[in-house]
Amino acid sequence: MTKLYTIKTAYRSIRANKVRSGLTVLGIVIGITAIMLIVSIGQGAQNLILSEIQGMGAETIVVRPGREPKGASDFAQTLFANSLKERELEALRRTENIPDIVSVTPIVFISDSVTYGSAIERPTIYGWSAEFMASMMKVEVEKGTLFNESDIKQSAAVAVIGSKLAGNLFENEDPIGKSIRIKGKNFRVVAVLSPGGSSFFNTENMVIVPYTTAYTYLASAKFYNEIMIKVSSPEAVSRSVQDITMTLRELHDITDPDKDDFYIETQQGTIDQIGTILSVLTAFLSSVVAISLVVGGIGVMNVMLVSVTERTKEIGLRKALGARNRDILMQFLVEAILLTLFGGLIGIFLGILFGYLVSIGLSRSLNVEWVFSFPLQATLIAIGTSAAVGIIFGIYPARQASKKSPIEALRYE
Amino acid sequence: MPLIEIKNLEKTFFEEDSSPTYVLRGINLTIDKGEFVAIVGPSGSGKSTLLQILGLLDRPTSGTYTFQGKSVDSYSDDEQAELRNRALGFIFQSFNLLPRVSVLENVKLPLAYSSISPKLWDAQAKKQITAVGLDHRMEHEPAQLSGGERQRVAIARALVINPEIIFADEPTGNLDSASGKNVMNILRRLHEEEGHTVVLITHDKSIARTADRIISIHDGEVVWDGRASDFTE
Repeated sequence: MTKLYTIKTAYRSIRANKVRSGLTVLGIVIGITAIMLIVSIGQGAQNLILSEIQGMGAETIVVRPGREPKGASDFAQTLFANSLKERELEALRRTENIPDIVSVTPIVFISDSVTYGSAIERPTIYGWSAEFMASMMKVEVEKGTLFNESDIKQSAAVAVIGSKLAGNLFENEDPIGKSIRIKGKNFRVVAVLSPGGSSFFNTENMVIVPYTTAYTYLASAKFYNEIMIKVSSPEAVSRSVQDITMTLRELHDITDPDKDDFYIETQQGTIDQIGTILSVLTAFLSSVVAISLVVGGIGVMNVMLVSVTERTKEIGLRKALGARNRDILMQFLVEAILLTLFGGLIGIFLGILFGYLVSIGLSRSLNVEWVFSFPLQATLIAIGTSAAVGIIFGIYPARQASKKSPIEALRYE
Repeated sequence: MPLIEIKNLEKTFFEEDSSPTYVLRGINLTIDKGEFVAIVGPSGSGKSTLLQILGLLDRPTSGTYTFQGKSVDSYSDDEQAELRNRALGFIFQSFNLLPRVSVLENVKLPLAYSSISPKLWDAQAKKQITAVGLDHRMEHEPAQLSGGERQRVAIARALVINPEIIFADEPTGNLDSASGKNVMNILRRLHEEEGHTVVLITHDKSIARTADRIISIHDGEVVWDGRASDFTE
């Protein structure tokens, strides 16, 4: 029997029982729809998060003192590690050490209170570079002007404050030009930031001062909490990580990598981590939904068995006219596969449609750039899975059909 | 060389909790190419079982069956299926057409299991449908046809591969007398004009007399075998 004829025969038989065929594959349709929807939403979420992270610079490398915290007890060591100072900063700035370097920015965190008159607040205090503040964090100014490179060089006592903090300290006064006190030193407010800020960084309740000022006047122990290094391209990140590691180990006479007193984070690491978490989550949800495919497959098997019994006479006739056992087997198997494949295709269509609608809904309701992405890989897997369900649950009824003896079958009424 | 030769053919059905049923008890017969043979007998005589064995739809309990000089006893299921497809044509009492499928598709059915190229299927099927006078019914479904027309479709289907032998099992059993006569005329014509070998099974002696030779069966044994004109019983 030719392949084309087998497929035509199977198709004709499915079409002859439209309603029954439709109800039979409903389980498959629902299962595939759900899987497509989950994968599509998972992919959308991943894309959204990744684009936000990459907006902060995929070519950025962060060096921190201490060891990468691996558990609660490690945090203390990391907090008090003071291995990144002026000497390390200078070494990392040299292009002979790190050829792909574009800029190096140290960051200092200060934990202290800020006062104006009788008002006291405990905001987050950062020592940043002008470049980091303006071009990497992309802070938006509501009024005033950000401090610049010369303020950095002079360790100027100037501060940029968040909108909420400005309101809390100054109430109705205009903060620009006023002095706030941090650790007994006066800082002139030069700018107030717009409310909001980027989605990963809340600028509303923070104070930003030049890192030189923070390092010299505010930090109780003289070290940098982070050194941000920007390299020429995302591709240069991994070799620059090597360069940084070599430079710092040489500087600190470290030969055993386990004894590193610094650790390096890249956006790629974060991207990988988020990617892993989301794929595990997607795979987990998909496998839960896959159970519905098993249920759907059993439904298909059930209906195929009924169909084999109903068509006993047809099987007998076909055998009398020359059909071999495998012709009958193939006819019923192809029918089951075609049935589940139809179900799979409908499921793919519905899954993509719902995925698209969800992406529009989320974009509107959360006001984010949720971009719908076509889950090509999931589509191919869904096609394969639905065909596989047809084979797995169609083989038993098809074997039952092929084993019928022609006279028994012809005699069947 | 006879077309069909069977020797000491026996068929016994063994069923649990009851004694065996001996349906065929040592049948010997030969059928030559071009013969028109009627096998007659009352119901329960074993004539249908004999036809099923001759038609390779069932296997005997013992005895030998030779088709075109070759023993088919040791044929596998697939080899038997191939022989059925290539050399045997069947006409059944209840027509056995596929419902919801056109006359043309029904007649093409044996071709689907043959090695004949699909390009030739339509022409070959249409030729046989025209030969039984149903060229105006090509795209009709069996449900839209009369009983006589359905049996003519079955005849066209049996002939579509040009078989060596045609087995007709009570072909007029479900038809009114006029349609039955028409079907018998077609079988007669196939034998006389085109030289087809026809084996007809019937319980009706007047229909059996349409054939050239009559084999009468009773209780699984041949009780009479001779020219139809000499059949007196």
